Amino acid sequence: MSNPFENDAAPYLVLRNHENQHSLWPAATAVPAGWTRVHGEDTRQGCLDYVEAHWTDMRPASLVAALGDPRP
Amino acid sequence: MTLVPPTDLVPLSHAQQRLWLLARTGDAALYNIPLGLRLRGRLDRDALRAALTDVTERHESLRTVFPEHDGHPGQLVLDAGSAAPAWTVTHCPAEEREQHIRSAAEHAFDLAAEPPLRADLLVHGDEDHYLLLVLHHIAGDGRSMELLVRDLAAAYTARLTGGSPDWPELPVQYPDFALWQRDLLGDPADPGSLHAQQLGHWAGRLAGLPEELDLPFDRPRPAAASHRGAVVSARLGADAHRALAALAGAHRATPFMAVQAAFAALLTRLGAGTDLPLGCPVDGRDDEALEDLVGFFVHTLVVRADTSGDPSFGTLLERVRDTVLEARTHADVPFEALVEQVNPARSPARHPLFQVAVAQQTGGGTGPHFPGLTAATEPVRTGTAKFDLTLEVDEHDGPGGIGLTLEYATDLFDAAGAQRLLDRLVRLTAAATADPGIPLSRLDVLDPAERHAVLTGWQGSPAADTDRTVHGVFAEQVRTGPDRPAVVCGPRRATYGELDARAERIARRLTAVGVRPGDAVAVLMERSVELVAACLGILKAGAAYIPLDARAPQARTAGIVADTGAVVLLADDGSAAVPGIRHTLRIAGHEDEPLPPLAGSAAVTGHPDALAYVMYTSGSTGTPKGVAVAHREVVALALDRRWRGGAHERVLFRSPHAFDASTYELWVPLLTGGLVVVAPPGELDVDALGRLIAEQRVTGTFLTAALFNVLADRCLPQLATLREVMTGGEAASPPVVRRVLEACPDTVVTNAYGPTETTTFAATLALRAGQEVPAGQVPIGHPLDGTRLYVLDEGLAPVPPGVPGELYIAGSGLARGYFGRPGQTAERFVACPFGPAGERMYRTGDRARWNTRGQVEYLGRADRQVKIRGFRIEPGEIEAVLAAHPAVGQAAVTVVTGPSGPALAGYVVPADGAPAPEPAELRGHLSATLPDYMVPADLVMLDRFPVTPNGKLDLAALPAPGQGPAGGTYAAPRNDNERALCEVWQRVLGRERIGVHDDFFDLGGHSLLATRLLSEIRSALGAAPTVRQFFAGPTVAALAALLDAGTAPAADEEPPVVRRARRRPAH
Repeated sequence: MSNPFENDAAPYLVLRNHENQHSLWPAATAVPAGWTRVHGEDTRQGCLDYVEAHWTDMRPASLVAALGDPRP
Repeated sequence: MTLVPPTDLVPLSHAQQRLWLLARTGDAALYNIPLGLRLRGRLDRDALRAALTDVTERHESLRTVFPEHDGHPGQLVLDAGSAAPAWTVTHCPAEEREQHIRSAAEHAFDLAAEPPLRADLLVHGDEDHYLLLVLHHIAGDGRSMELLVRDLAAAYTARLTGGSPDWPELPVQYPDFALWQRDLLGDPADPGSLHAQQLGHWAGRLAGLPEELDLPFDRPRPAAASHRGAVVSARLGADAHRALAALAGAHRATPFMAVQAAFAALLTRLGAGTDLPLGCPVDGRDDEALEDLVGFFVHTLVVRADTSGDPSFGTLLERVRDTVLEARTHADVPFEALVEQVNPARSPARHPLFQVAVAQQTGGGTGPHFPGLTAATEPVRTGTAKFDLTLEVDEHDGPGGIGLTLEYATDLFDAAGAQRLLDRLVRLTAAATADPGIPLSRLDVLDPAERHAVLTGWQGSPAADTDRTVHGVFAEQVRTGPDRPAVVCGPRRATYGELDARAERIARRLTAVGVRPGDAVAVLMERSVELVAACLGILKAGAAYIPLDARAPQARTAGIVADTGAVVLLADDGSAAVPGIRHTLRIAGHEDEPLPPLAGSAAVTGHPDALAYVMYTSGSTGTPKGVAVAHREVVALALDRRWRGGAHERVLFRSPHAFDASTYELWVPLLTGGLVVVAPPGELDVDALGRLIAEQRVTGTFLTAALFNVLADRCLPQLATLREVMTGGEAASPPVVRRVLEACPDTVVTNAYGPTETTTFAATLALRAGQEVPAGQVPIGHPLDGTRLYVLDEGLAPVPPGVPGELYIAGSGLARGYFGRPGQTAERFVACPFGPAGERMYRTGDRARWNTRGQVEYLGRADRQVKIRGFRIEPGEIEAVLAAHPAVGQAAVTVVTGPSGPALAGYVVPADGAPAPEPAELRGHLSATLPDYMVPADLVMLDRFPVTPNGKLDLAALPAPGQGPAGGTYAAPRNDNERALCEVWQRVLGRERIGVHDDFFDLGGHSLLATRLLSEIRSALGAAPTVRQFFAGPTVAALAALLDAGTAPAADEEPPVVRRARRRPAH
């Protein structure tokens, strides 16, 4: 069984949710509710590169807001 | 086609040849075609019997026997007078009829001497008769039965009035066809022959065919198929029939092709892959001269349905249509030749080339006409199954609608499972015809109730209030019971109040050196009361603890420190410095000092989504990843309802602190008012562990599967003092669990499952004494409170119960991600299509399935599943069988690269106190329950298994096996039997220097050659294995072992060779 997240030949998206969490996502599959496409279609590696570059503070957005702390 | 002059012994048709061979494997009823004829009214028995003789006279195939000469069968047509079918008349009430039919239908024909048709007339009173006709498949097929009944009715009509049937003479007889077929196909060696041409076509079409379809079996495949079967049925209604026919018409296909396509789509959705070889029987009466002839003309095509690329149903239907049509234009080449061409690994466990067939039922129309009688034919089931599944499609079943009958191998399916499969086909067909343009992946195969069960009904109850921090919940326990014991370690102990004070002291010291909320603080301490205080202190300071493993190489520790940016370390006195750490705080010896003053503001309250700890997983490859877990998830684990009831009041803290089981061991007791019983530092031997459990009256503990197995061997009385023992990390061994439950009736044994990424546990299954422990494996059970488990297919759709998929986990327990690794986090913690909007799910990389009781079963790592010789193999399944042997303590199976490609290697640690088992004995043990391709070529005995720092089996560190006996090198014969057998093999195969472990089929042997071989062995050695025995071990060594053991039948038990006789000309 091949996993839909492990196919180097397939196109992918990067999704983001309200907590600024990012998810790799197979482009062929419908985007789940509560998620927005922020990158792609792109190669798997292209998407992961995007995530590395843009998801710099991995704390959930609500925690950052609650702490009032801009520090990553 | 013309009449061929009669000769003594005519060769068999290709289909007969194959069947003759198969019929020797001993499944008597498998190749019988029974048919019931219900006759109501006044029956003239003499006329009926005479009519039967007339029919036998008319069709030579009904009086043909198959004597064997030099290992080759021939067909001999007997004189009509001497070959009348066996005829019995039995008086029996209608209610006893079924029993009679069943036993008569299982008659074992002696094809060498006995005509292939039998008739049993069952009489109930004067007016109720049942004629059971049993025809051996070698003499006929489904269409033949219709012809037989038609001709029987005509002859009866004539005999009633004293006449003889006046039917047009048949232009040819079956032996003529057999000879004609050989002429038509020509010499296979001649590239211009039809045989060679068609074979060339099939060689291309069947290249790379999967050897076995992975269906949602209810039971594991046995080593040899029993061919026992049963049927379930369902029906496509008139509306569905119409819609299907319209869709088929629009794609220039037949409704039958549409059902084939729907079945292929269903199998894909049930995890069978996208390359589906389907057997498809077709009537071979292409020549007009054969139309009215009784005989074996049906042959089986391989229709390779291609569902790849997630096509629409319409596209799939066109693919199937083209494949079927193309197959039919290349249908003359014998099936056996296809098998030899594709050369799959032969196994008595399953049918070669395909295991699933789809058959179009002919018939229907008006019933036979017997004057003065009401006649109706009734199908008779023989309780057999030739294949794993056979879908019979009957379009003539009633005025509108399609009858669907699914024959299933009872080795593999139970009735409920087969019925569910068929019901899914009905549902999928309806969905596909309603919307033929949508991709297969979006066709629903779940019924609404199942969908609700797998997405909602079987999920965890809502989590307790998790909007709290770990130290916040701990503080509540301190407030309500400050004097209760919180932690004990040998002579040292602390109450909740004392532990809180120590933790507070540590928190202030941390704050004093500059630790701020959101920081990471490393901990490198032995298990102790202080370690527990240290973790709490770090949390109180608003920081996350990073447990370091004292046994880990320094480079790894330094890497973790650098990764987390920790600059402060809590350590024992005397421990070595850690690179990258600016402040090392030694904990011991400060208990009695006054609390340092608060630095700055008051105590931090903390946030539930702040990190509580970062735990590094020891991946076998690559750099370790830090799993970052928030307070909320630890609170959810600790407050789960399943810990209530007292079994987790005194919990053993035994795991290395850097192993995630410590999360359970610390926080479940401390957040629920219980006691942490700290095991002494360092490695604990098993006996000391057993003593500790008993002395400290431990109520609950978690043990890795390996440790659980050892304790079950050596410390059963101590286990009996536990209220609940949990085991996990690897699959639990059912025999061991059973043994513990039997010996410890008051102890609950819980199989626990969970990756570090979902905070220690995601699912558990609690087993109590008296409960049945499943034979194959212990399910991982039900999700924790607030946790949801999803078993998804490649399109991220939930799969039905019973169907394997990949396990995803959402809800409570989900880690924030991998610390400082956004890319790796984004590929494992992914958007969840099922829960609340914007939620994530963790993809575990584990294969699993729901069972019908709503429990999840763990099926091993997705990436451990291997394919060898085309078989999909789950090493864990083999490990479970090995471990069930009484002399085996632990078992592991891996894939090694041998001289002939990947091969399985088995590793065994003998059970405590048991002598090391012999590899041959283990091989026999495995062969008794597993198909041959799952028996490892090498079995290696070890004193102990290599383990990772977390106590899990380290597969990568297992030693490579030595050159195994089946390694492809020449092994000379070792005794007289082997020498004699090698000579026969070399003669039959035309090869030199055949080794005793060489596989007959690898050397170019095929089934027909195998019968010749066995025949020659019988001549040379006076006894020979059966064909079935031979297929189970087609090597000289295996055959010699059978002969040595005396389990091979002696020569005189085989069918006698019948002297040649002249075939009488057809009149």
